[in-house]
Amino acid sequence: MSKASEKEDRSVPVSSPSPLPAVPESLGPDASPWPASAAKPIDIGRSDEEINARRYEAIVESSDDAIISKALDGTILSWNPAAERLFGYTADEMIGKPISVLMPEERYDDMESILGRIRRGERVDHYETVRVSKGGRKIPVSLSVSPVRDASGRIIGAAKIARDISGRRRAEAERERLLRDAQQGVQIRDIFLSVAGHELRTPLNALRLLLYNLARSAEPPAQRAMVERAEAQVERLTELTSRLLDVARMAAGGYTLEPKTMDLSRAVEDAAARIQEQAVRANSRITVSSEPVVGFWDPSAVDQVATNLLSNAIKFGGGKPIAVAVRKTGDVGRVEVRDEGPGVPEPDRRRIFERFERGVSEHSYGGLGLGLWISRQIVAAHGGRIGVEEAPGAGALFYFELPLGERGDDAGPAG
Amino acid sequence: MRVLLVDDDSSSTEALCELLKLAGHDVVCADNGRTALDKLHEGHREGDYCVILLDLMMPVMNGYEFREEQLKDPSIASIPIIVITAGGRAREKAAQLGSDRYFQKPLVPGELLRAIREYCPLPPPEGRRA
Repeated sequence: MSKASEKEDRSVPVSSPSPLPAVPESLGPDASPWPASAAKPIDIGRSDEEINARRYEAIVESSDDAIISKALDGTILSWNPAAERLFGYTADEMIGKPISVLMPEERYDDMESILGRIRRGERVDHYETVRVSKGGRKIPVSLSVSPVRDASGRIIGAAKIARDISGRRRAEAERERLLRDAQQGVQIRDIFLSVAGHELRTPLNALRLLLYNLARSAEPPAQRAMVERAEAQVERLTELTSRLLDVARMAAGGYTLEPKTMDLSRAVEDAAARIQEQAVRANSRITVSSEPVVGFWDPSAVDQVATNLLSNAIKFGGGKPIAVAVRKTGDVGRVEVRDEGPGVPEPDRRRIFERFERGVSEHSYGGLGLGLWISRQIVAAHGGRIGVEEAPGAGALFYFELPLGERGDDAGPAG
Repeated sequence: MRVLLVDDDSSSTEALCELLKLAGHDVVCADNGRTALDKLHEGHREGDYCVILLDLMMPVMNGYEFREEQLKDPSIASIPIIVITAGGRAREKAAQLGSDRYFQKPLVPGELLRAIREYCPLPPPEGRRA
């Protein structure tokens, strides 16, 4: 709406029989009954300037931000209630005083630079600095300062809005502290795990070597059998220790692959052969159907994944056969390990690949809850995927897929 | 032809010495890099030692410092090393020392013996000690 049309509207005399809304007593006889947001001002016998001035005054009075106006030399000309609350000085105390009263010594330069910009007609937006309250407390504030001009356009002073940002600053500091604590916690944990790994492996080393020697000198068969059982326990401890260390390394992002050209079938067959005895003890039997699948992968890491899936199958599907298949599917090598155990219910299928998670109660089955997480990290490091599906019939079908990778010039990295 | 075993963990060292002797090797032990250098120089003749089994974390002189000293001395620089470590990232650490042979503790005796035999052929059976 243009100025002209506003004027026209207002020039229409009020002839309606309904009177203006009553002025609430509390506002006093001079107060305008119109909220600042009233859509259409009506001529009630005041000049435009007067109405605008009152409107601005109401905004300034009710603002939560300190609003201060000052002359170009920094003398304070107005001071709103929020300024009173923020800085602790009343309007009477401050009007006529220099703005430098609010400045900490080390920020005196601020004033000159802000006033300099104002004199050049520039605005200062959201300038974050520090001011001092009446009690000497330093308050972090965000300042927006604009030049004030007279009717001829000459800059005669500045209007300043100061917002208390101490709450935000506290929140920022708190967030930084929490982040630092978290990072430090992670670092301490990783260092601890790596040191603990070293310390655990050292006695395991001695134990393994001593038992090896003992097995070769123990004569009576009964003693030899005991030594062999002790050796088996050392192997278990060794396995657990190396898992803890894998987790520490993977969590710290220090896990690197050592890829070589290898046959996935061969690796899975070897892992199955190694664990077959354990399967037989659990009244299971592992059968492998495979075709050669050659790719560029880390053999010991692949062995770890295969061994993990097989040992899970024995643990949960004992007493029933375990079927393993290795084949090429599109541009990936796929390994499937199928058991006839209780299977993994749909809601658990993602969760069990998380760290320290387990598909079943820790009261029924042991284990660190790390095997599938480690497997997932290894497969992901190869650019592949791992998961579990419902096996046709019953039980669980765990699979992992590794990209076959570049073959000649016909394709980029697969997966 | 001797094997030099450098490791500060005495329980492991004793057991490994015993194991290597049972396998027919001649073994000399040192509990840190400094004593290892001393042993290498004691009445040294070129070709006395066929391989060095080197632990990394040791007091007095660690495995890295030992390797640095070894490579500075032409009379012993060419003796190959096999890194044996209880810490992680064994391959990286071995590569740092210019070796591609490494074993992570706990050592698997069969694997270690095979690797040693590559550098230290055993004397014919009749010459072997029990």
